[in-house]
Amino acid sequence: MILIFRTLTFITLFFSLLTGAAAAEKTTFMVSDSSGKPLKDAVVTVAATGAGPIRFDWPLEMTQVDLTFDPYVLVVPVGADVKFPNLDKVRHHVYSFSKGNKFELKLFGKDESRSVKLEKAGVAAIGCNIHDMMVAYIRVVDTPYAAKTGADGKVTLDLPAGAASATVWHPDAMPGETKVALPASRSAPVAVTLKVKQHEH
Amino acid sequence: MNIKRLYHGSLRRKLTLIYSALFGFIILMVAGAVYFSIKINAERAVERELQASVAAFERLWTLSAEHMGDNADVLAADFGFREAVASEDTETIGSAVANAMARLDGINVGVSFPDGRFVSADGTESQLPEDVYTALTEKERPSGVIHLDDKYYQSVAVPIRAPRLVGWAFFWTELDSERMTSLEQLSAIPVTTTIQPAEDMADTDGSIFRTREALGASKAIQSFGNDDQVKLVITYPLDAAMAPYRPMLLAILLFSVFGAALLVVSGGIVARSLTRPIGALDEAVQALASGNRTPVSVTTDDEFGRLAGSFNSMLGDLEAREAAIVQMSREDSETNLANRRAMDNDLKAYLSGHGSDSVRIAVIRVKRFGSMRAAIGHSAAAQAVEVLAARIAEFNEGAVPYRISPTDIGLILPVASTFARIESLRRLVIACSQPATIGDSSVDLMLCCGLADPEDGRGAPIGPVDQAVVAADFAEKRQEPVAKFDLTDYGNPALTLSLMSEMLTAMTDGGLALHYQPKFSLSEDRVTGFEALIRWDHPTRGKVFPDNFIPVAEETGHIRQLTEWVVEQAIADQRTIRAKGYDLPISVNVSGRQLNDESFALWAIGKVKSSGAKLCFEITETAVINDPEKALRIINLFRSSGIGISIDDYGAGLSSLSYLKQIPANELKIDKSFILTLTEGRSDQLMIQSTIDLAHAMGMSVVAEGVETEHAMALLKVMGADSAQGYFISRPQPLDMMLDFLAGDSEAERESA
Repeated sequence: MILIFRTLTFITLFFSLLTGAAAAEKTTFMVSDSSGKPLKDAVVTVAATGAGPIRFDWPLEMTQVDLTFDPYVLVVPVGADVKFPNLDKVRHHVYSFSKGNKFELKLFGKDESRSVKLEKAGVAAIGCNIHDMMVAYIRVVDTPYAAKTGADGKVTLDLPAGAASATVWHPDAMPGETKVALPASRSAPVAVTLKVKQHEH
Repeated sequence: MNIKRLYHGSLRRKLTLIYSALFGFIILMVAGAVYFSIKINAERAVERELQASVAAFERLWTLSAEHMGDNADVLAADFGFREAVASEDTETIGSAVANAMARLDGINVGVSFPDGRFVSADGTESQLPEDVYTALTEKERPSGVIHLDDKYYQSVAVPIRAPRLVGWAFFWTELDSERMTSLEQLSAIPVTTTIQPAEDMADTDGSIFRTREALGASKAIQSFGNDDQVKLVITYPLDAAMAPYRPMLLAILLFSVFGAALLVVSGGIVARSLTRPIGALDEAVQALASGNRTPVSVTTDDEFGRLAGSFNSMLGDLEAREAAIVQMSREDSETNLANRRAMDNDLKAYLSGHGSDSVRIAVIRVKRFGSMRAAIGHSAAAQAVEVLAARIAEFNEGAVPYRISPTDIGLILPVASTFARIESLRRLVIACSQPATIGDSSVDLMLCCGLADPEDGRGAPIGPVDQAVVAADFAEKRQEPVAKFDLTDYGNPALTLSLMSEMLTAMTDGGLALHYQPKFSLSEDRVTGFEALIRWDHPTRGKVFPDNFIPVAEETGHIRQLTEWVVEQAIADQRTIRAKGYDLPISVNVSGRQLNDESFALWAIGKVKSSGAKLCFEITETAVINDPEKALRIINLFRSSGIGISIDDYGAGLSSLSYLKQIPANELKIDKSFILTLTEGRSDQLMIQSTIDLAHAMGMSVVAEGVETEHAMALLKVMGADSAQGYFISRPQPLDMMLDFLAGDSEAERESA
């Protein structure tokens, strides 16, 4: 098993070397919980200075569907207008009491969409006053180098030259943010282990 | 006190004790049974109540927890409140909390942030205690008891989410004494409710427990945290459980004590009514045993009354019978005169009252009573004595006649009375010696009297009454009307009681010996024979004279053995004498009794024949009186066997010429009483001369005894006596000395020749 894993690692390394050489430098982060399980929805950010306007290639939308927020974790740049489209038949009352990003979208119905400008980097915990079990998080970032892990716990980022560390955040992690030193070799994958609180929902 | 004695001593005490003990035992059992059943019932009731209280408490506890939880949920769900908590707006939180507390009476509310900071109603912040905070982080919705600073609190904490956990709404109420009291009031009985750490009450969860003073039930209460377990403890004192029954138990106790006292008293009374007659009977019997006759006075008509009646009548019978016995014991059965025992008793009484020199004892004897009785019969003879007694009483006024033996009437005579003198008694004897008329016949009363003075007879081995009897014997023997007891005359007959056995012993151990007195031939002027005389040298009594033991031997029949011994000894001694060269006959005294004993005669003849001895038997004339025919036949037998016969002590007793004529004696010995006075008067000389002549005429030689002077011996030689015997010649001497004497005599003879 270990042999297979090493072989895979070697192949990935080799592949990334090939692609790295073709485009910018890309680094893969592998986030898992303390038991080694891949952790989904972990957000990795690497700070960058003097960057222009930040664009992500995913929609800045927090959809309500089937009495659930979707996605569970949404990464948005500071100052972005985040849309809250309601696809449910019922109405929702979405709020956030998170510092700097407080807002309240009172009772909007199906197919209505509201948007909120999130001005401060950090986390906005989103809830619905009507449906207590609806929880989601919006990670507001001030760097273009940010992405969240998939179901396999992996995320690949283009890193700016000279970046020494990355920050990994997860809504259930304790503490919320963890700083990770970046290796000199950009092509080397970064394994991150987070201590995660048991899911309450 | 000795229990055993207490128990055995008195029937009454015994009865009382037994019934009291029985009653006490039963009361004790009943009281014990009542007490225990009450106790068990009371405890069961208390147990049920305690369990009910526990159940009520549980319900109440749950209700209270739900009440707080519901309110906490409401608060935690409030959007504004959540916002305040999420944004840590402590002022708003405080006001919201105060608002909630105002609605809920007695319930405290607070908010804790996830990091343990605690906001209370006044908006101030503090830090939650460590264990409480731990409970919050580990439990979703903790509810239970918090133990803090020796106080207990019922608490509920509900998480506040917005939407993430932003804090806890904290509701609590102190389990203070007021709260406990309100719990206690739920119970029908006055229980005491406390909350205690579980470790103190480890064994008693949920069940009834019991201490020395109380019953209790405990219930584990959910703890707010995980450690710090506590229990609710409800107790009820046993005292209180028993309290309602105390008057009843007290009543039972009082009744028991009262009953026991009543029983002791009434038992005592009943027992006394039972035992008093028994006690009376007991006392009467004891008194009877010590000689007092006291009738019992028991008047009840039950068994005791009848028993007492029987006892009293028995007492009467006993008295009559005893009187009869006393009478009988004091009376002569033939005459109804007082008897010897009565006399002894009366004398004793008199002596103890007056002293021994104050009285004389007289005994009046009816002589020849045996002949009289033979002639007129027992009862008539007794009548004659009765007549005599009446005469004595009449003569000697006031004297009590005692018939002390069939022949004797005793009198106790005070010295003061004139009758206590010999002359008076002589007159009495004469006065009473009149013939008495018994039936048809006239009976001569021949009397004599003995007198004894207790003072004089003090050393005698017999008492005064016996002394008077002995004196009467003297008087009878001496043909005198009255004789007084004389200690010297009396000697000591007791000594003779063992004399015979000692005599038999003396025969073998050398105490008895034969002494020899020579017979001196006046014509031949030499010794021609010896008389053997018995001598007894007693180891303790010294020399015992033949007069003192030969009559006793004759009376007791030992004379035969004594005579045989003398004969054998004489034969042996004669052999010794012969060996010295003297062939001389030996005379042996033979009692008259032996002359009636043919077997003795045959024995003696055999002895003489076998030994070839020369013996002569000296007998007295009176020896033939009893059975002359037989005696003479035996005497002849002796003569024909070569044994000489000598008539001894001639002239001393009753001399009968007719017997003298018949006895074929070859020798006659004149009694020394004649010879001793031979030289003093002519009449004796005449008598001796005529006796010598008579004896010679009848072919007998004559021996004179008691020759003590040369003059007497000369006279006798002139008178023609053949031989002489006496101190002048030789006193009786032991054999060896007699042999010396013979040697000297023959020497003298040779010299003179």
